[in-house]
Formats: sequence, structure tokens, C-alpha cells
Amino acid sequence: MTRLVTSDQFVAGIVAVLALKKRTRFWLTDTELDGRFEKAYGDLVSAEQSHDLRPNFSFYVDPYHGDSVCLRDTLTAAKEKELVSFNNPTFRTFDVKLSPERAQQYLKRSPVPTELLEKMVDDYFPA
Amino acid sequence: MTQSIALAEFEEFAFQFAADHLDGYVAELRERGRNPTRKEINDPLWGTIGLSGPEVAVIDSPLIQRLRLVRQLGVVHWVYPGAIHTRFEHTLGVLRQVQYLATAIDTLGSQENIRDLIPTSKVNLLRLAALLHDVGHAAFSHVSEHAIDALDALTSIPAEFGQLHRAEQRSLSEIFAYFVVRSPSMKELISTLTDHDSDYIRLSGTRLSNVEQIVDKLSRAIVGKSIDDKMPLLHEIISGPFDADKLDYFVRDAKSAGTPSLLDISRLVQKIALREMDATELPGNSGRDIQAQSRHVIIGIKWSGISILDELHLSRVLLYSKIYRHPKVVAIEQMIRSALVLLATATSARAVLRFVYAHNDDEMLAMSKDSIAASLKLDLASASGEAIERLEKAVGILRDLRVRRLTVKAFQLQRTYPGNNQAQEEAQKRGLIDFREVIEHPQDREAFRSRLIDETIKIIETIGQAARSRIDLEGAIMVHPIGKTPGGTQIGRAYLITKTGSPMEFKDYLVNRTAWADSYLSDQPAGYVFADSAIADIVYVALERLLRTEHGVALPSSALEMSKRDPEGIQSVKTRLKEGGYYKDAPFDIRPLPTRLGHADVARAIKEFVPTFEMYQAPIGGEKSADQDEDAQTAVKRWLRQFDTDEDVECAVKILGSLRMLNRNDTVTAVRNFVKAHPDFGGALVVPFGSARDSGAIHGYFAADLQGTVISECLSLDDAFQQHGGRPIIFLDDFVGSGGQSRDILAAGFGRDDLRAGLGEDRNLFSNDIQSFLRSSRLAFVFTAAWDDGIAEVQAITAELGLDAVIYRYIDESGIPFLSQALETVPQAQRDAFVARSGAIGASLLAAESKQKPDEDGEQYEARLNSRSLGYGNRGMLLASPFNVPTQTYTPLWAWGNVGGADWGPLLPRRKKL
Repeated sequence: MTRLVTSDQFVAGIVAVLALKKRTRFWLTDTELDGRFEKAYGDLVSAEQSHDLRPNFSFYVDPYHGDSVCLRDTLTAAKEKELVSFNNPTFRTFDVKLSPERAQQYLKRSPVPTELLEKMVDDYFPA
Repeated sequence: MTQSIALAEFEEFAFQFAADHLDGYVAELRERGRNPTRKEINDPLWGTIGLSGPEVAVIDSPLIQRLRLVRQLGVVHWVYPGAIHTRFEHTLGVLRQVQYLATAIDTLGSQENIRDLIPTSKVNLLRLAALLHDVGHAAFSHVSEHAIDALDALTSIPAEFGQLHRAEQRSLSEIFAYFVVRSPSMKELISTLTDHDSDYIRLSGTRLSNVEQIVDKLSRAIVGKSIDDKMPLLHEIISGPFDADKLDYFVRDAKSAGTPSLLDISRLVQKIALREMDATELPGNSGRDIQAQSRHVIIGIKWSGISILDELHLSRVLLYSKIYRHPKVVAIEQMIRSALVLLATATSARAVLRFVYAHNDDEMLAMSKDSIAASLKLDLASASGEAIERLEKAVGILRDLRVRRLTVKAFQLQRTYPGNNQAQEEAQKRGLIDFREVIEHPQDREAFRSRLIDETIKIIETIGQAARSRIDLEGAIMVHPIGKTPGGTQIGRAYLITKTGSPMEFKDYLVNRTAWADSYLSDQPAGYVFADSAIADIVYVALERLLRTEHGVALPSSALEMSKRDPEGIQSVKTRLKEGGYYKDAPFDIRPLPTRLGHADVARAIKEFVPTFEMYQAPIGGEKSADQDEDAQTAVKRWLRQFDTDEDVECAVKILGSLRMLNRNDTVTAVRNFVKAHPDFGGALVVPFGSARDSGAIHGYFAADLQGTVISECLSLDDAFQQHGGRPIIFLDDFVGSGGQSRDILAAGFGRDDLRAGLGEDRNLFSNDIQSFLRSSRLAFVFTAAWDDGIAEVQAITAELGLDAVIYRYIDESGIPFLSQALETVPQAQRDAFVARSGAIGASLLAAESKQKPDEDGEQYEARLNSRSLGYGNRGMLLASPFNVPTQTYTPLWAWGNVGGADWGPLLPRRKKL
């Protein structure tokens, strides 16, 4: 059966690779992050057939605001699962919070192959 | 295998739906040759709403009239009886709010010398978009939408739409509305309206092009795309941060349900602000997807209106927490979902897609088996037995809804559970997150639900309850994650407009209010399992086992409370299950709590044992380490409940009452009493017996309390050799059992392998100088506690090695508690049974550490384990020191392992010597 990829799984996969590469702080107050995830999502869509995957979400950004509702909501959900933490008091930055051990667990479970996630991070989330 | 429904097929279905609801009506309208006259309609919230002739024509169409029979909040009225308003009323309300916003913006433009900002044609376009924005809703509004968009065949449509249009995620109903609006039938309707009234909406000079432009802009507005180059955010009046949709439903839903509404719409409209700018000045990304004009106008909110945007966030959060996610509302939604999923399995997702758009709420509720079968084109004569059973179950669910015989909450999933230390425990927290991730994934959720049904069937069989078919249970057990709370990001996009400076989005303001508002919901339930009331307790018990075995989650008692399960009911099911052998290989902590554990005398015994327990310093780190966060009473209870039966728990409690914990005073007294009995050892050097890794090192440190009075000092063996100055030597250790280890240390030290005990441990060879030193010194071996055999063994080995040694113990066997004494008052049969069970537990635990040796067969291996199952020597000693537990001590107290398929956790975990 073609494996469904949810936005939570996709973000968890990217965040796990970022954690292992020790890239941990991001800003929510600009839309650069949304743009990066949009590009990574584009790669995921391109890899659908070759990896027998089927994303059930879209990370395309709103053309007038530059952000993605789906991504932002997914990041909020990731915060609740302690993959990331929004930094007090303004919640305008977030840190990747995954331990290397937990990051490895997420990668192991992810329907998206680790090498694909690593390539996305190398391409769109460089140090 | 399910065949996916592609976007193109979905579009074709929407076109057909539009044709079914418009073609006949449009033909009549065209034949009539004119649009109806204008009308005023009274709305309970907003008063009189005026409609133009073309708008009356639109709302009179079957496409909009069907919305009168689709309730805005789906099933909420079963919980909040007043919430019976329909999509039709909401549609009119949105039109009214569009007009309110458009008038305010246009007036503001006039005040700022921006003439004709929203001309009549565009206002009419926006009003028409309001009338059409909800035509994509099926029966029960979002309820059926969420049921069908989770069907595997339909789950990719929103993503496919997003990919095709490089657009943000839109809901199934929005995509359906988008296609309906772009359908040939809708074009024919609009063509007719504009033919009858050429001034209604005029966007282009030619008739055909005008219609094309109208449907293009209408459909774009519905899915959040720009419709105006001069005002790039004009479409946000329909779908935006403070759109007309929210301004109606935030208030209408709250008022109908009878809950407070925080939104002050007139204030919001007062706070709307405009900013005119060049294309190059457009903020952020707002210039994408539009043609550059000489001047553009951005719509936003004045800085002084920030509190209004906060109110929008708060209203959203309250609506979700009080109404949309009321547990009973969610439960009823799941009943509808369950019925539709059963029908989809009996027929196809395609058939159910058509079904939910073919019928309205009440029609669907009233349907019989025959009428549903007819609607789904299911031939009952040739259908399989399973298909018919599914159909009948779905009909039964709809019938239950009619009489409000509702499904109940069997389990409530929390992010953390209150009142339990385990909430802080990392493994517990991770387990809960893992489980959430399983049920949030559609395919994984379905696989889990299948396992839950299997487990439920097993329980029903074990307790002998009337059997229910798998299909029956498929319809009765529903697993529902509470997903993300929508809307916050969209509100955060509102532009804050100042007199000077660039507009800034609300989300970039001082505090990220969206994340802040969503945090309010973070302690809300994370998911539910629903079931009919006859099996709710059983489903809880089944789920508890799966959570424990698959995710390592041990549900605390507060989970029962939150799941509204009666503890006595659950205990009753568990007791019957235990009698049926269901728990024989299950983790101890999910088995029924032995009744004795709840008795006052046991509670007192546990409390009295706590100070002793707290003296013990369990090993830290490593694969096997004690739970540092677990409080003492919980830890003791956890250990006791592993004994499973009241009789054995009673015996285990007596063990705790008898356990002796050696302390510093015991060791100091041992040395003091020894020297008192042997004054020639006054001023001796104390040397810990064994190596630095042994507990003797700590006891040597304790003995230094007597330095300068009874002994001279405490030194290592090497230092004692260097500095003895003729002083006698006292080797000190806390405990000797059989004496094998003492023999081994001394024989190895003197290079006498022939005298070693064969324990397989690495031991140091003393240097020749040290050997000579020991042979020529006056020696004593002092033990804080010792068995008779151990004393004899040390005497023997010292004699064999030719050492001049005195052997002494402070606590002899009369002062060491053993199992037999602890259980003296227990009836013989109970005692024998407990000892036998303890032996079986001990043997199982030892098997985890002590593997079969190459030179022993299975029988010999078993015999070896049994010979020490109550502790080495098999005497069930009840002695420990604060730093470690002798292997001679009762094995279940200190060993990790597996007993009958369940993990055993020791009370005083022992550090294994490497």
C-alpha cells in the first residue's frame, strides 16, 4: 500500500535531521522558513512515485503573505509534542528540541527515506 | 484495494452536482426572461438583509436552497439544542458582513481621497461570492466532510489540488465549491443573471468574457486567491484574517449555542485602515500573483485595533474548546463518521461521496436500510453478507442518533495526566506522544483500531459476555485524534497599518499571538476512543493493555476519571479477566490491583517501610536503573502488586516489615566491639576487604569514625604495607554469606588458584612483599554481619594460607532476618505457596543474568537456578546495605528480569558486578 505522509511526519523528519546536524534555532517572524519548507515539500512531491509515498498535505505558501497555514499549524503541533519549543516570552523564535536518540527514532519511523530528508536539509536548510 | 478518486473525477462530480441543482432552474429563469425583484430578509442576528434581484435568483436556486437543510454545526444541536441554524442562514449573514466590510472600506477610501475603491460591480461580485462560498458542503457540514476526506480513496484530493494550483491546503468542501462555481451550469446561471441585468456585475466588455471573469474571481476568492490587482487583498473579505465568514459564524455559532461571544464587530470595522502605496512598497510577498498598478491599496487594522485581533483569537479558541470540540459533540460526529465508513466499506468511497451530497441531514437520519441501499446503488439481493451487515450497522447508528442513544467516551487521551509523577517521566511522556502520532496518521490509526477491536473481542470471549461480530464492533469502536486548531495563522496575517512606516503583519507584532492562543488549547484532550456503553469499560481495558505493551504507557488513575470510567466497573472487568487467564503474560501494573493493597494495615506497613526504603541508594544510569522520580510509596506499591494475589501480597508485606538495612552505626559498632573483645588490635590499621569497587571500601570509610580512639587509621592494602609500622591489620567488610568470595579474594591474592572458589571473577595477585607482610602481620577479618558458613570458610582459608587471623562478626545469624522468620505467623499453606511462587519468580529473574554454561545441560542449569532462586544459598535472607544488596538476599527484592512474560521491577535494584 502506498504510504501516506502527513505534515506532522514530514516536519518531524526535517526537524530530526536538523537536530542531528545541530541546527536548532529558527525565527517565526519572517517567511524564510516557510519558503524553505515549501521547496522541501516540492522535492517530496517529486519523489512520490519513486518512493511510493503520498503526501496528504500541501506546504505551498500563500502568495500574498508568504507563509503556510499548514506549516505553521504543524509547527504548533510539533511544539506540543516537544519536537520544538517556542521561546518565551514572545514565541517569535523556536528551538529544535529533539535529542539525538529521539531524532534517530523519528527518522527510523519516517515513511520518507532519511537520505531524502538529509538532502532536503542540505539543500534548503544549510548551516 | 481502494481505488483513489483523482482530482479530475472530483471536478467532474462537482460539475454534475451543479448541473443537477442548477440546469432545470436556470432554464426556467431564462424562460421567465427577467430576474426576480429585490427582497429584504430578516435575520435574527443582523436584522434586515437586502438582496438584489440577481441575488434573489441565486438564493432561490436549488443549489442554495439545499443549504436550508444542512445545519451549520452538523451535530452540535444534540448537545446545544439551540444550535440548529443552517448553512443558509450563515450564507445570508456572510453576505451582510461582506456588505458591511465593503462599505466601510469604500467609505474609508473616499475619506482618504481614493475614489471608487470598490465599485458596485466588485461589491456585487463579493456578495455573490458570499452566497456561493458554502455550496460545497454536504450533509452535516464539516462532519461528513471530515468523514469522507479521511477515506483512503479521497485523502489525497486536497494535496493534489494544492499541487496543481501551487496553493495552500484547502478543505474538501472548499475545493468542491471551487469546482461548482467554475462549472458550465454556474456559468449558465451567471450568464442568465447578467443577461437579465447587464449592470449586475460588469468586469469585461464582452458577455462571454464577463461571465468567465466572474466565475474565475468567485472561485479564486473561495480558495483564498487574489481577485483584484489594485487591492491585492480584496479576496480576504471572503477568506482572510477578519473575513465576513468569521464575522458571521463566530457570533452566530456562539449565540445559537448560548455561549458568550467576545467579538465586537462594529469596533473591528471602525479599526479597519487602508494604505495606498506603489507596487515597489507592497509589503512582504503581497505583490506576488498580481499585476503591478500605478497605486495599490492594502487593507489592514490600525495599531489601536490590536485588541480586536486578540478578541478574534480568543473567540476562535473559545468556540473550539466550548462548542466544536465538546466531547459529546465529537462523539456524535464519530457516530456519523462510523456510519459513513461502514457504508464506504460495504460499497465504495465513490458511492458514499455521492451519498452525502445527495441527501440533507434529516433525510439521511430518517433513511431505512432499503432507501440507503437504493441511494448507494447496492443491490441487496446480490450483495455479500458482510456488505449487508455493514449496511444494517450503519442504519442502526443513524437510528440511535434519532433517539439520541449516543456513543460514550471509553477513553480520553491527554498530553499528560494530572496527579501522577509518571507524567514527568520521560518514557511515559514519549509513549503518549508516540501513541498520538499513531492515531493522527490515517493509515496507522486504522491499523491500531483493528488491533483494538481484536483485543476487545479477546476480552469479550474471556469474560463470557455475549459475542459481537467484528463488523458490529467496527461500527461501535471509534478512535479520534484531536488535530490542529485551525484559523490562528490566518488571523495572524492581518496587516497592522500605521500612519507612517511599512505595514506589519499581526504575527510579527511583539508577541506571536497565534502560538500563544493555541497554547491555551494545549491541555485539552489530545484524542478519544468512543464505544457504545455496553462495551466502554472493556474497550478501556483493551486500550490500556495496548498502550502499555505497544507504547510503554502506564495509565494513571486520573485516566479513568478523565475517561469517565467507573473504577469499580473497570476493576470488575479486570478481576474476571484475571480469572480467565487474560493477564498471565501481561505487565503487572495493568493487572487488577490486589484487594489487600488497598487495606489499611497494608497502607500502614508500607508507610512504616518508607524510611528504610529511602535509605537505599539505588544504582544510577545504565540500562537498568531505578526510577528517580517515583515517590517511595508508589515504588513500594508497584513492587508489591507484582505478587498479584492477596495472599502473596500479604506475605510480601511481611518481608518488608522484616528487612534489615545495615547502617553506619552497625559497621562502627562492629569495629568498636571487636577491638573491645581483642584489645591487642587497639590502634590497628583498617583495610577494606576486597577492591575499591566493593562495598567494603565504604565501610572502611565509616570505620574511620573511630580513628584516633579505637583504630589508628584506614588505609588501602598498599598503603598499609608501606606505613604499618608493626600495627595489626583489620580487614573490614559489611557482609559474608557462604564465604566463597572471601576465599576467592585471599586465594587469588596469594596465587593459590588451587584454593579459589571458582566464581569466575578477576582478582588481583598480591605482590610478594604484600604476601610476606600479611603472613608476618597480626590480622583480623571483621564483618558487620555474617553467616556461620561464611565465618567457617574464612577461618578455613586463612588457616590454609598460613595466616595469623582472628575472624569476627558483629551480627550473627540470629540478628539476620530470613524469609522463614518473616512468614512465621502466616498459615502454613499460604506460606508454602508463597515460598514456591517466590522460588519460581527468583528462578525466572536469575535466568536473565545467569546463562546456561557450556558444560551443563538444561536440567543442571535449572537445578542451579533453583538452588539460589530465593537468593544465593536459597535461604531468603532479608538484609541489605544502603549501597548494595547481597546476592544472598531474597531475589525478587533486587533482580530485574521477566516473570511469566511480564517485566519484573525490583524494589532494591542491585548493581551487577562487572
